[in-house]
Amino acid sequence: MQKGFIFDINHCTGCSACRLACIIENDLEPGVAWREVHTFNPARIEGIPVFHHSLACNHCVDPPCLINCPASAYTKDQNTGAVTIDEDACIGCKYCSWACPFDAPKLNPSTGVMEKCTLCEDRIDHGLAPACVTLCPTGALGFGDVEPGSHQHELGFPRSGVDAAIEFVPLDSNRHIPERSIDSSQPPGGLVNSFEIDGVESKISLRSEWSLIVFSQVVAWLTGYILAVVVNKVPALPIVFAGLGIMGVVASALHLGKRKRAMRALVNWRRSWLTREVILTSLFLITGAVWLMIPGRGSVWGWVVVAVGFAGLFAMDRVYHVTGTEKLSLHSAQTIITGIYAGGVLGWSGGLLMAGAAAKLLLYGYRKHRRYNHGYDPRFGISALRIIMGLVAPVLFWLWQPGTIALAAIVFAAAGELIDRVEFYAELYVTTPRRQLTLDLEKTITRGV
Amino acid sequence: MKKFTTGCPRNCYSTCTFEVQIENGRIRAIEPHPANKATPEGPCLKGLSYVERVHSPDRILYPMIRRNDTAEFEQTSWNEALDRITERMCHYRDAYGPQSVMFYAGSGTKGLLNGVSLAFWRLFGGCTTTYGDLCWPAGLEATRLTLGENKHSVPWDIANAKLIVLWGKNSAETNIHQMLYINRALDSGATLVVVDPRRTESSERAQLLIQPRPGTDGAIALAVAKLLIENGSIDDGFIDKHVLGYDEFARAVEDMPPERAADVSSVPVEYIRKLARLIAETTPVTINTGFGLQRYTNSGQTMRAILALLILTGNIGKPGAGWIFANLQSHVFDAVKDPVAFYPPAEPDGVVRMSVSTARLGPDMLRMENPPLKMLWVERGNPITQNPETNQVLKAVRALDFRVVVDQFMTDTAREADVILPAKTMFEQTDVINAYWHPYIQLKPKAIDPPGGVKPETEIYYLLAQRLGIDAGQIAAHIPEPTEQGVRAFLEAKLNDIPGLSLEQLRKGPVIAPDHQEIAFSDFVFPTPSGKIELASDEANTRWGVGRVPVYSEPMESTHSEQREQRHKYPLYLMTPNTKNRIHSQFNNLKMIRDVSPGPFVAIHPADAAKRGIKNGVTVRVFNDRGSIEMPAQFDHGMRIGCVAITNGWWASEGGGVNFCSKARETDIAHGAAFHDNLVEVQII
Repeated sequence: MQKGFIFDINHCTGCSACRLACIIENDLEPGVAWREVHTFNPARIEGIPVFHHSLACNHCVDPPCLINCPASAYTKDQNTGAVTIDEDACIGCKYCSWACPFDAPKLNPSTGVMEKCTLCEDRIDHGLAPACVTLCPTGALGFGDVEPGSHQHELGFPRSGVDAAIEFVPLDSNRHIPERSIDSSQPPGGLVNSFEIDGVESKISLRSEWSLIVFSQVVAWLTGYILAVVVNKVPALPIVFAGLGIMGVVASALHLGKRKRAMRALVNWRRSWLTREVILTSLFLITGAVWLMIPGRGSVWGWVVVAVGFAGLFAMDRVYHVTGTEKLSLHSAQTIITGIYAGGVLGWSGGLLMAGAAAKLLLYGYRKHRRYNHGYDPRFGISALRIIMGLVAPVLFWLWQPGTIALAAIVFAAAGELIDRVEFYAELYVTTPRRQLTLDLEKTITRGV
Repeated sequence: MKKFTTGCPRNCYSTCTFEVQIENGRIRAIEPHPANKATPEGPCLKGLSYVERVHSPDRILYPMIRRNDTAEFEQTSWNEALDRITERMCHYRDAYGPQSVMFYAGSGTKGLLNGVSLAFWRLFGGCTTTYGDLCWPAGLEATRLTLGENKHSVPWDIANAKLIVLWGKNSAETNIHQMLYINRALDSGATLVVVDPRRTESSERAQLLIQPRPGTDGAIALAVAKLLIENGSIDDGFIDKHVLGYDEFARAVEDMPPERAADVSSVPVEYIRKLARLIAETTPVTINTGFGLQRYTNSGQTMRAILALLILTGNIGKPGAGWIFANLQSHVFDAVKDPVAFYPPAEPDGVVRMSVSTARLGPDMLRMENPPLKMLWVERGNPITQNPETNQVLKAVRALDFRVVVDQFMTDTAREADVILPAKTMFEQTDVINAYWHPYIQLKPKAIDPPGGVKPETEIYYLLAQRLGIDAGQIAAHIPEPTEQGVRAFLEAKLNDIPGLSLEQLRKGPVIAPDHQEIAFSDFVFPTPSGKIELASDEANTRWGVGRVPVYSEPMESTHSEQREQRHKYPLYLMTPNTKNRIHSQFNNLKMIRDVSPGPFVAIHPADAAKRGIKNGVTVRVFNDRGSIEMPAQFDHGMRIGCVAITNGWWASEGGGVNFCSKARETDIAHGAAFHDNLVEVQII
């Protein structure tokens, strides 16, 4: 059976009693509530309705949080369909909040772990409805058996393809935007110029994820390095390799809310790309260091290490696909391409270097062009720096001196990759109800008011 | 876990019934109580926030005394606080007479026990107090003059209406429980019209939103009346039988053709005609006026004009039809019902001097002579924030010798006190409350002991009376003993006067007032002097000096004023509506409310902002000659151009204080506060 919320958009006035009911029922600190009320058209732009979505967890049929949680901290109740998190198992990696298009899992800053709507299982057991439903003063929020995935193609509701167990009573088809008795002599208000959509904060920010940038760059370059050792017989530096590897792993652990539980990240290898990334990159770092230390190392084992490394990079790139960010597989900062390029630079191998640089240049140019067309600032200065320093200069160095590796080329290439990766994180976004409402509002406005 | 059924005693339409759950002496949860048919789904978010409010670390739990000439207070004992107060009271009584002490009570908490306060001050020998009311007198008096009594049909009857006009009311925010029944009407095909200079949460399901220039609603109503008469859309039978003064009224509206009303209100004439058409063609019609539109200097007449539309069309006394303003049917304990109860007596009794108009609190207090005011006692109120013209109120309060404020929190008024006494919450003393929207009388039982050193007001008065040496018999007759039994005995005695009401009965849940009329005026009995509905009222003229029939006059402060200077210097109407997040100045200090209402802002149309170079979110100054406040501007495309809005009730200490700009002035009738006659300018800082 699947229980869920039934939400009547026409009857909700956005009062937020549901949110407060949730805070009280679950003894939450105001500010980190599990239910949120989002408003469509908060600036009351002419000709567009104002309405609200009161949303908590939608207790999906196949929940992305549960699938992707590396620690398998989520469970879905067979009787009610409630999706809950075991806060003692959560490692605080926040990956579920990237995977959930409904912004349901919330980080509790005081405990460092995720929390979420429990569908008030205790209340359900006692024959009561969830607190938010019970205390909705207009009866807009209901609860009962729902048909997941149906009745939810509403303006502003994330269209994620996930079977969410929520039903909407949609906006009345005859709900007219009220005819307003505004003087025709009064200007309509210079709508487009004066309108300002609230900026939607991305859940992924450079500030919170710097450690992941360090980790991903270190692993990609170390993979490239092993490739260079295998192909171009560059000197084996096991101590440097191990040192950098440990640094990367430590950095990546820093972003966990519960570092002591880091080992739990290995649990969900069946379904979570994050677990696979952790397993494969750890395996790569260990086998890489061992292989480098073996005096008469054979290149067959070297190729195995390289394969493990690139598999790890593949997993690392897959990790970000849960966010819903568009065209990620065409992103120039994908670590798998960085690994190849790094192999070319470190091994001073013309073929790999040029292939990597060309691929990166193409993808980078395509992406910048696309973003420019979508109205984003393409950041010309940074882009030029990234291309000239990170891609053109190493190639020129190689053409000039194909015989001797240029240290400057490595530094330049690494700096260019860092810029790209930083941009990658800055461009990542997670689908959320608030973001969807804003995008849909923008669309409604441009369609003409 | 213990459970109590209780009623919320705030100054609010809904006066919800809910169940409160107590665990280890703390309020753990609040659940709905379906026995109150008006509020079956539970309280609003403010009601839920009692969970925090009662146990808030910011609550004042002990008497506090101001440290000499500083802004600091220190905790003191009840003995010391009461000794100090008693000594001061006796001193002023002896030196200047008891009327040098002013007693001010606001609308912070409803309850039968509130009557104890003035009884105490009479025992003291007298006092000065206010007359009039900040909230609703013009509308009450307009209704009383016309229909004879302030009552309306049960809240759920609006579900039967086919046309609902919310005239200056934003039910979604100020009476959210009404939305249940408005939605029911709309879901079964009714039409909603909203008249409001703002596009509000309540107008989203409206077919028509009429946005008049503030204060001109009367002109629109008179023009609609003229159209109804001209087009023969009136109910002649009803008028012949039940209405006095139709001919006089019909002649008067000749003066307000729709084109003139359009000119006055800046509402295009086709919308005035459309409203008239809707009222003419739809049956039954319910018009629900809010309180905001009757706080202008012309608003008694405005309210009479709007009410006339229902009378002309016979929409009175029938299901789904009628006038919703205030339903005082549950006010069974009042010998004299509002608004008459708060008029100054024609013959002063020499004991309680009712000489300060609450609308002009500051200037009137400063003006008092023989004796001048020396001491102020404030309870259940926050006049620094809520009464008009804050700078004048501050001046008057600061000119006094001694101030006592009874409150739960450090409000703007408490900050002015010499002694602060901690106030109880609704869960800490048993009381009986009525309502002004639904017909229920409710018991509000004591559910927890007052925390810390909190004593209910009646106990404070009991102790003061003893200290003052008042005769024990007198005390016993007027002030309940400070125990739960004492309070219950006191209430029981009051209930004894009303057949069909007892504490025992109230303990089971809300009780509909005895002799209550489900459909108001369904007996077509109108307790006016003529026994008919009075479209023309002698009393309007003799008591208030306004026309016998409603006519339109421009509000004193208006952009169409004769005084050019006024309209050029301050071209924007400052509207100060209520918000769903507060009851006036209560609640926003709580974390749970701040979560959804983090701070004040002024809502402004982007076109008005652009003229002043104001960008969304920048801090601006809202000001006129009376005062000034600063806060961020927030764009609102739904605002009528030429109007800005700040919700009232933000404390000055929170960056709010809308009444710094309002003027201490009365409405045309009934001693209301006309603080919505309020022009300002807004500029970037």
